[in-house]
Amino acid sequence: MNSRKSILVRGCTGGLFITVDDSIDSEELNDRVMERIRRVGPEIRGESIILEVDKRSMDSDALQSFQMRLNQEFGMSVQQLISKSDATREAAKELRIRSAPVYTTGRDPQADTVSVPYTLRSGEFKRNPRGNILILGDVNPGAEVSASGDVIVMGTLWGVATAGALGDETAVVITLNMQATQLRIAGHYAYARSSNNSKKEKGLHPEVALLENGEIVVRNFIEFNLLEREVKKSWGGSSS
Amino acid sequence: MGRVIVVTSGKGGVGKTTVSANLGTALAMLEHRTVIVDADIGLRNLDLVMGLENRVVFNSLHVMEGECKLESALVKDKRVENLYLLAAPQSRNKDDVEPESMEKMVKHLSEKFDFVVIDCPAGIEQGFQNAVIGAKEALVIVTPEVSSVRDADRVIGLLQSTGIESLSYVLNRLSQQLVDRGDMLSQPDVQEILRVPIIGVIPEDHHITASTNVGKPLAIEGGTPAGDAFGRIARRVLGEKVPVPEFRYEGKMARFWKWISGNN
Repeated sequence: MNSRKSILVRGCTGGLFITVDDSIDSEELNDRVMERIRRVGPEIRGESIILEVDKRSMDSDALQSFQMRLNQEFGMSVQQLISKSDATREAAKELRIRSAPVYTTGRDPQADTVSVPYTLRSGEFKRNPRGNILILGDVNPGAEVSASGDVIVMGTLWGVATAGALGDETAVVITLNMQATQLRIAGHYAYARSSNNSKKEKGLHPEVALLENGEIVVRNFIEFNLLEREVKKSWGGSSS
Repeated sequence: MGRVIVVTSGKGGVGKTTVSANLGTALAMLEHRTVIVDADIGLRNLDLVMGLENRVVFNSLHVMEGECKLESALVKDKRVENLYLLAAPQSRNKDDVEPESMEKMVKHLSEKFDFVVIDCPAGIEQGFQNAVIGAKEALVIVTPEVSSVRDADRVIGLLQSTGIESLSYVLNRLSQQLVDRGDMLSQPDVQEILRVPIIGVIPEDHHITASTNVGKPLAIEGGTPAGDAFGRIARRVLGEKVPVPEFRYEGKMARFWKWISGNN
């Protein structure tokens, strides 16, 4: 029954990152992956996929049938193939799928960013499941913002913000004034410091919320070097 | 064409009906033909607050369903010239109203009056949608409480996505004493969230309770803090620039010193 773990689905800024263990039989690979994606839920329809198959050898027919099943059932397609097998990468090349032996770029610089040019009021919910979201205003109390990548609020964040909604643990929340009710990054939660509102600091202090050792921490954005962290935490580092 | 102003809030119990009654009264006293429409179908209150309950024969639904003429459903106020009320039915509910017929009726009213003030029901469901449909201007009533501000913010978002052209809020029941003690949101606190123009501040005033119970809007007679605030709001609605006075709370000691020094 531990074969259940042999397919791993994670979210990343570009879409879904699916890792298929070599222990899975080639015959049932398609069925097993489709079933696993179905379990993630209906919200992910239309996402693009990064497929990681380690040393498995796949010919172009196998790859094409996988691609077709994916398209029929979920409207998705494989954008990038990660494989240590030369034959598999060759097959990907034939089908014009980008391929590499290891996944190296931590964050996709091509990820879409949705820009919202106004303040989100209570009850409003803006999300971008395919990248970052930029709010040119405040996120008022009772409003919610969510992205599979980063959340950037050029104003005061009072409401609830979710970064890395599909599981990207390198996603961050950046805001000019952090007053959030709740922060969520890749399934981790943090609540507001329930201090008295009376000693609320005035003025804007750009801050960034990020995951450190499985805990959300808030740092001064100016002093914090985001780039340095980027290099350390690339996808290539983790091979789970 | 008269101006159609909807008085709304989202949250219940923050003073929509009181503000509607008093604003309408104050506008009429400034010699503008004004009708106040109760849009809270099924929970009519406005006629009570105006003291006109016993004079209501037909209501707005009778008009919308064509059972009577608009003129015969309008109740004229005996105390204030130019002031009329259009009551809501008490025995029906909000789903009985067709948005189209509401819009038509409001349009008809705006041709006959300088001001049509619509008292919106609480909530953001069909009743709210119906009340808002014919209006071009909105007054959002907010009390200095986080729950009220939250709901007002939601309503402002909804109003901005409809045909409302001008929108401002009224801060109701402000107690300067509580603000000074740090126990109540101040006007800047509320402004920081809502970020739309404020048209007036109404201080907490015990006269309101009595006026509501006897059915005589405070705006009819001057001399009370809240009644005067309604008068100022009416003048601002008319475009006058009227400064917001500071509602200083005077404690017993302050009044004592004032009395000692003789400058009261």
